[in-house]
Amino acid sequence: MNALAETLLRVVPDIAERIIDAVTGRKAKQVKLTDILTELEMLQLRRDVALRRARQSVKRKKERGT
Amino acid sequence: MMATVVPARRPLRIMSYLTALAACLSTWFAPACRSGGVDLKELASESNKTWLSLERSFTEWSEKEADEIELETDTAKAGVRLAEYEETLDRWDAIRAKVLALLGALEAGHELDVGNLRHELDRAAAMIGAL
Repeated sequence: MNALAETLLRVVPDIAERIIDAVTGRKAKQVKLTDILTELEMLQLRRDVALRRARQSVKRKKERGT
Repeated sequence: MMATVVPARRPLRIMSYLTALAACLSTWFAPACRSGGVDLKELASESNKTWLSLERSFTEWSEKEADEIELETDTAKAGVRLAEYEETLDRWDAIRAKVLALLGALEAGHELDVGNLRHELDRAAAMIGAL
């Protein structure tokens, strides 16, 4: 499955549910900041790993070029 | 012959933009806000969900951008792209710090300017839309 399809499958149900709740006025489950902190930290870690990977790749390219 | 990598940026950009827009729309039109009276707990909950969606979208982008920097065969171009990437991550971190402080204050029941929180969420959504 390609990356776009994966993103769509993950994100669309969540967004659709929230819009339907907002339009119909149905009370959605309340989410506290403490409920999402662990995932937020995990996302920050994923970004740190991606940044490190990009930096190392450019460093390697420069070393190969010299 | 040098391999040409065609980055698949447009679908991600459209997807990120739609995600960010939908997340913000659902916060703006949440029952608590629509009715005029602001239910702070509900506003906090919607804002938390919106921020989580924005963080997910931005993280997806950051991983794909790192992939593309790795695939870039031109060292100079990769260097420029890395510098832009670092600058984008720094801008995100600055917004993130403000949003988390505001969400924390909202959760604790402190008085705060709700417009300020919406402004920061809009900035984050606009940033994702422009990636």
